[in-house]
Amino acid sequence: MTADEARALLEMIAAGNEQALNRFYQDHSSRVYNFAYKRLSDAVDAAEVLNQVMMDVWRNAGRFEGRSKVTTWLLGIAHHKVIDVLRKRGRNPGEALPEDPEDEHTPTAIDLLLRAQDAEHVRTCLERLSDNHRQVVHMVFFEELPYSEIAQIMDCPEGTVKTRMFHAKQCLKQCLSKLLKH
Amino acid sequence: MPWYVNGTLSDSEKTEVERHIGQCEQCRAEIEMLQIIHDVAKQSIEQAPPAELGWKRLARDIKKEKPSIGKRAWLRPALAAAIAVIILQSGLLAFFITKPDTVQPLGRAEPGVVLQLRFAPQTREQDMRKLLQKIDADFISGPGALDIYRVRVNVDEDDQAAINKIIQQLVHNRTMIRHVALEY
Repeated sequence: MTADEARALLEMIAAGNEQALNRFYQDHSSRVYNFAYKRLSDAVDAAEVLNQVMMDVWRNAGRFEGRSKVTTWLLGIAHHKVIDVLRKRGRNPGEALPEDPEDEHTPTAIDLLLRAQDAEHVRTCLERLSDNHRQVVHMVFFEELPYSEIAQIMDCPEGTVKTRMFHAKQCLKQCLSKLLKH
Repeated sequence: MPWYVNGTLSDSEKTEVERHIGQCEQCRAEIEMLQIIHDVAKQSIEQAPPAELGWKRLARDIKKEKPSIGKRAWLRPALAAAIAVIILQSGLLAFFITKPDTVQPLGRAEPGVVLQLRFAPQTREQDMRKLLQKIDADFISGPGALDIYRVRVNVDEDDQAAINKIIQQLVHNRTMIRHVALEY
């Protein structure tokens, strides 16, 4: 679906067109669901977020002003719904700030490069990342979003996005290094 | 560098990165490593969302919602032209009924009077509903393009004193209400 098609669908949804919402749901549900799942690691919670996000789209489609892409707007809504779920779980979303990589020598990329070519090791380390780190890596490498859009989605400064990705990268390096020592 | 790998840097940023990695072996290795991570992330198996079941649940929840809240079908030029809108900012008074003989009724099918309200941006929906309960009113539709809600107040449309009292209540609620107008 092109950006123009998505915007046209939103206008139809704003006018109360349920078929347009259905089409929108079909086209975007996987993206929203996986975005939530990466952070929550729970299918039921991710499905709940998806439902809430689409209800918000139904109610507020008319408020989309076109200043960002439709997907950015949509994932921004999803981000806040995920925060709500984390709050209900009793986790302070503030704790989800990136953990600092362990205070030890972080291996260089040169050291790791050969080992990183084993995809299985990389996959294991990606799965072991904290929720926050996993989410930013998902947005950078799976969604392939620019840092400015990620900042809009996460409602934080661009510097925070870059810092979070930097820490995620450091944690990945340390994980790879440990895996390969064993 | 991650954004160099995912291809979203601007041309100038890309040039800067390429100039640097041309001179830095460590950074070239970093780019290669990030490329591998990117490739693995792209291949990661997507979780399947609750497709048909998810849609049925959503369709059901939509039907439970009040039919016209969130829709802007009411905002039509002919109706907009028939509506007297007064912008209520701080220091301005709301509009009161003083000359009923100048009113051109639109022929409402249901009893009561219709007000147009605009709430302060931070007002929560539960607070809106509490306020409406207080004045014995219900949402008809909204928010429209100007964030205007239409509400029907359960009051005798010939009881000017009661209508004025309700409007006064709303006008004085400056925390929540930014605009009040009586719809004719």
